[in-house]
Amino acid sequence: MNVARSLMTGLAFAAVAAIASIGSVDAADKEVKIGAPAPAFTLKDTAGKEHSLADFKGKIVVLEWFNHGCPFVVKHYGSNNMQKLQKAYAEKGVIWLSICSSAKGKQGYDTADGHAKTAQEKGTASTAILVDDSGKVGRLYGAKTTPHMFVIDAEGNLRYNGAIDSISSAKPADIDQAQKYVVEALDALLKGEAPATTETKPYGCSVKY
Amino acid sequence: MDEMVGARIRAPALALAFPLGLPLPLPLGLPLPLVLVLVLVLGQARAADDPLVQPSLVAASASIRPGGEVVVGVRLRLAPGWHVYWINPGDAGTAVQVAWDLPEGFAAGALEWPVPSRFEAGGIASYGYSGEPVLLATLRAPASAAPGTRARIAARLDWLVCSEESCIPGEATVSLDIEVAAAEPHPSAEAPILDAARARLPRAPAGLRATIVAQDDETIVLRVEPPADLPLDGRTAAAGLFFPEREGLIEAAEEQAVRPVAGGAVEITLPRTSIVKGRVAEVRGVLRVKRLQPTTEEFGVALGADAIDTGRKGQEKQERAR
Repeated sequence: MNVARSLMTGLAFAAVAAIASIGSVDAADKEVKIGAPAPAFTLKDTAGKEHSLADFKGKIVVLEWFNHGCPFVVKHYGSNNMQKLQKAYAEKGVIWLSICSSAKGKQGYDTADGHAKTAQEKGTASTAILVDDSGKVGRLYGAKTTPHMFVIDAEGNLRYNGAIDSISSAKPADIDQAQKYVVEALDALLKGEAPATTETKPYGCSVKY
Repeated sequence: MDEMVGARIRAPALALAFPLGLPLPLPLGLPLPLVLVLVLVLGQARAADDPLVQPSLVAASASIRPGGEVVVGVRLRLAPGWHVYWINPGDAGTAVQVAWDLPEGFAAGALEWPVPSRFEAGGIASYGYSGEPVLLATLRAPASAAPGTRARIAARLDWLVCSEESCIPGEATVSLDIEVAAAEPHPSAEAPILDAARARLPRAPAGLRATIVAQDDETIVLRVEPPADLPLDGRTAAAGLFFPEREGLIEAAEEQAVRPVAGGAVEITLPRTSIVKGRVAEVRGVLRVKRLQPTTEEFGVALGADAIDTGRKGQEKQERAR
C-alpha cells in the first residue's frame, strides 16, 4: 500500500538522457591547446595544389573557417571586413588559410572550381582557399562555427582560438564597435609579444559537417 | 544593406524547399503528386514572408486595465527540421532577440524562455527550440492609460533559424492592438496558447537546492538536492541535461555524467571548456528532468548554484561536513 502510494505520488525522476551519440569535435578540441603545436594537416586548394601547415613554418598563420551561405560569414565578407584583413596581414607576411568544411549537400559546400569562382567574385585575398569537405581538418581543430578563427605563431604553436571579434551578431554595423580579437592576436605576435586574449567562444553558424 | 543581405540569403531557403535538387522551373513529366507537393511548398513560400519562421504576438486577454497587466507571447512557428536558439545558444547560433516598441508609459517585464532542447549535428550541439516556441513577457499599462483607447503592442524580432544543413537569419516586426478598459479582462482566444507556454517554462520547486561542490580545469560538479516531494532518482539518471545560461562555460556536445549521492541528491559533472578560466562562483541554468510516476512528464527546473568552496577540494570538505 505504502509502496504503491509512493510510486503513485511520482517519486521517480530522471535527468533526461534524450541525446544520443556525441560527436568527436570536442574530444579533438582538447588536443588543440594554446601554446602547444598546432595539429599538422594537408589540404588541397581550389586549384588542386596541396598545402601543409608545415610548409609555412617561420610565418604566422591564420586559419579561418568559412561558409558563404552563413549570415555571420556574410557579415564579414559582405562588409569587406574579412578581405581587408586578409590583404592587410598578407602585406605583413602573414599566411591566411580560408577553410571550408561544409559537407556535400550542406550549406557552404562547393566544388573546388565553385570556391575559386566565389572567391574571385568576393575578392577573397587569402593565401589559399582549402577544401575540407570530409570535415577531417575541421574536426581535428574542433572548428565549431563559421567564422571560427585560429592564429598560429611562426614556431607552429597555437596562440589564439575563437571568435573573430567580440560581438556575436550577423550585423555588419557591429564590426567597428567590436573588440577585434584576431587583429589583436596578430598585432601582438608581429611585435613579438604574447596575445592578451588567447581563447574566446567562437560565434556563428555551426560548421556544416 | 539589410535588405541586400536578406535577398542574398533567401536563395538557400528556396533551394531547401527542393531537397530533391530539382531545378526551380518545374520540370514537365514529373509524377503529378510530386508536382503538387512542389507547388504547395512554393505556394507556402510565397504566401508567407519567411516560410521557415512564422512569427506572431499573442495576448492572454483582449483588454488591459489602467495600471493592470497582460501576459503576451512571442510565438515562432517553425518549419519542421528547423530550430531557433535559447539565451545561451550552445556551440553555435544566436539567441532570438526581442525589442519591444510600446505606447508611452507601458512597460515589459523580462522575457521568460521555455525549457530548451539540445540539437546535435556533426559533433556540434546547440540549445534551442523546434516546433512552436513561445517566449512570454508580462506587460504593464500605466495607471494613466485612458479606458476606451487602444494600445499598439509591437516587438521587433531577430532570429537565426538553422537546420542540420543550413542557417538563415530572419527579422520581423509583430504587433497587436489591445483595448484599455476599466472592466475585468476576459481571456482571449489565444489564452490557451499562453497557458501551454507557461507550462513549458522552467519550474522553481520550493526547497530545491543546488551547489557547485567541486571544480577544476576540466569539470564543474553540481549537486542537486531536490525537495522531499520531488526526488531525483539517481538510479535512472543515466545522463544529465543541464543547460547553463552562461555562454562558453561547458562543452555543449559532451555527455554530462549524473551519479546518485546520499539523501536522494544527484551530482552532475559538467564538462568545462577552456574558454572560461579560473574559479566559477555560480552557475545558473535549467535542468531538464523526467518524472516517471504517476505519468511520464518531462519538464525543466531552474537552478542557481553557488560554489560552496574554492577549487577542487570543495567536494571533500562538503562530505566531511555532513
